[in-house]
Amino acid sequence: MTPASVRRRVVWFFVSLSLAYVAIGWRLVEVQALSADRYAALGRSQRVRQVELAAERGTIFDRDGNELALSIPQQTVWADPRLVDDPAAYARQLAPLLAGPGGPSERGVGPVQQAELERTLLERLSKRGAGFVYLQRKVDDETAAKVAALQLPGVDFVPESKRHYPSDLAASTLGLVGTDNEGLGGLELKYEDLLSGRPGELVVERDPQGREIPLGMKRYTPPEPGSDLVLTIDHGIQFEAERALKSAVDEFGAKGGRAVVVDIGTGDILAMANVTAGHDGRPTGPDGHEERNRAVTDVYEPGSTNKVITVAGAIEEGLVSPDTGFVVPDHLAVADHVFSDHDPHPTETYSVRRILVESSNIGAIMIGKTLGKVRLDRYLREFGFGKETGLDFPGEPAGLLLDPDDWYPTSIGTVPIGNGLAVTALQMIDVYATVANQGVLREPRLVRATVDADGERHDRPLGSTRRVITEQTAELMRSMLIDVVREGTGTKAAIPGYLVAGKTGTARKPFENGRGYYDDRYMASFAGFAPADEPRLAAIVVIDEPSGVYGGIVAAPAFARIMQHALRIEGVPPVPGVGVPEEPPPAPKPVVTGDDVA
Amino acid sequence: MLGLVSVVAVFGLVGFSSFLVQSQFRLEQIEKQLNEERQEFERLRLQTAELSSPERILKIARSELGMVDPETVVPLTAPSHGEPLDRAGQGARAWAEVKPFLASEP
Repeated sequence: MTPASVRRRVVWFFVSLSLAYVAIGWRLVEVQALSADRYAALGRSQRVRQVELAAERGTIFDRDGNELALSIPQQTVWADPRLVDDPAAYARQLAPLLAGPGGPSERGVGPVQQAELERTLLERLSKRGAGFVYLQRKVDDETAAKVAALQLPGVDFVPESKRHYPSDLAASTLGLVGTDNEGLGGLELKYEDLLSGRPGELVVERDPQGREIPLGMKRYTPPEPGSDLVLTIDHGIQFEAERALKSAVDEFGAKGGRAVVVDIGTGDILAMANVTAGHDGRPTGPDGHEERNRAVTDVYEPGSTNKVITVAGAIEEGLVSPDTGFVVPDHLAVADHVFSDHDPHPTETYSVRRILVESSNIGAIMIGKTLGKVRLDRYLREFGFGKETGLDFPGEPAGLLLDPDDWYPTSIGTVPIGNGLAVTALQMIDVYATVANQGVLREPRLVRATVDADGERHDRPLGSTRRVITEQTAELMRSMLIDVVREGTGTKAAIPGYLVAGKTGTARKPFENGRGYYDDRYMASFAGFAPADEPRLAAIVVIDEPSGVYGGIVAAPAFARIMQHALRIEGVPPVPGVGVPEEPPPAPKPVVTGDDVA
Repeated sequence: MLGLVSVVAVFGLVGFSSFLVQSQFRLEQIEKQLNEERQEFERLRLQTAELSSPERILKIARSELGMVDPETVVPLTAPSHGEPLDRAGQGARAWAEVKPFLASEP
């Protein structure tokens, strides 16, 4: 090797070394100075995890503190795709676990579904730009443990609340929540602001394995749990109401039913049940969380239970007394329509009491005509028809009540007997609770108290009151309604040991679209209260399209069963010899001869 | 002398740092255990509620104890009505006492 060659090689070596130093120096300047902020931010984003902590949703209790809805924390599996080296391998390992507690075979998840899940996971894990993707939300503890055992860098957990309804009672009243625990219906929606609480935040530095870095940054703002609701519902009465309703719906081949039990003194709703007959392979049972609370949201034509308002209005106005006589034929023409009583009878004098006890349509129409449409309309509204009850339940309608100026010529025949208007079951039971409460209407209440995040209980006020009829009128109505159960159309509502007052109702269902009524579809109901001598509870049972037609046959027995159970739970003692008919009452004939029957 | 102080200071710092790290891990362990206990409490709470369900009790009464619904209910009158029922919601009250302590940290 010549000296010139050596010299050239040394020069090249130093030139290369210098270039390397320049490159390294440039890179150093770029990392430490020019792009320092970007690299620092990148480092932080890989270490620092900012997680929103969902607040635990408040519990919903019945009045005795039994949980009707509660949330428990469950793990949600998430990933930071920037830390995932091999998304396909991750998806392959996670898919069998996240398909179900014991893998696809136990849950019946087939290979197709698992492949689909694997594709979904791969898609999410491949989102390089994202720092957070959900893999599976609210998995059970077993699944969470299996995923954790894989020790996959970049895969982590965050606790989220999951809503549970342990007894499934009053489902349509409670409503439901969505995946993010937001109220979607019922009380869950109505009290969303109270129940949801305030989310917290955790900012913490973690290593790639998800472990907290000692002495690293940590900022924890705890979530504030939502308030609890203590309802007025009694889970024992609710259960019996649902059971009795289900039996009635099955026994009479009905389409469904509703029942409400109310504490007369407080307006507290102790039970609110909705049942739908079996269909599409589903057995008859209480409506689910996703369904409407029909007792509050759906209206129906009440039929003869409405006669109590017609009679009460006429007595209150001093137009009639229980002993006032009306000459009642079994048919009566009003405008272009002929109304009839449910059973043919000779024209004879009926007292107002007998009109109510035997549920005479013609007699009630005559009382309605005596009262006049303006005053009748006023009493209907005074008793709460045509407006919401004050419960403020989501989807609660005002009901359908024509302005007197818009009445049809036949309306003075239909309205006194409960046709041509539509009410909810809750509106109608308010009427009977008002009569039982000496003429004072108290707005119903469904929430008794709330319990805030600090565990402090805040009792809610009772519903407001207003007088509708005088005490004297209420007393006269009460005595006549006792006779309805003692000797009239409502004998099947009698309960051994208790004096029961109430009224039957049967009305043909109107066409869904257009005017007119079905010939063979009815709403059968019974509304009443007990003990009638010292009223404590009011209840209504409405059966939709029963095969038995009459409210006295279809709804009254279910009323008796629910009321008897409720009185026992309320600790109301029976009185021997009271409430038992001396001889079996004659069964009403299941034949429809008119538009409306008792 | 200065060198000795420096060495002692360095070792002291290292020891203190090590103590902090160990404490941090221990704290994390305790917090984890606390969360597990809280979650266990919630799980048991749910389980209790499910076991108290009237539907479940009715099912056991019928299928395991052979009980049936009565044909008629005969009222029996007790000599005295006793104390009025307390409807203040004991269950909700007991829950209210523990609620403030249940906010968990992941």
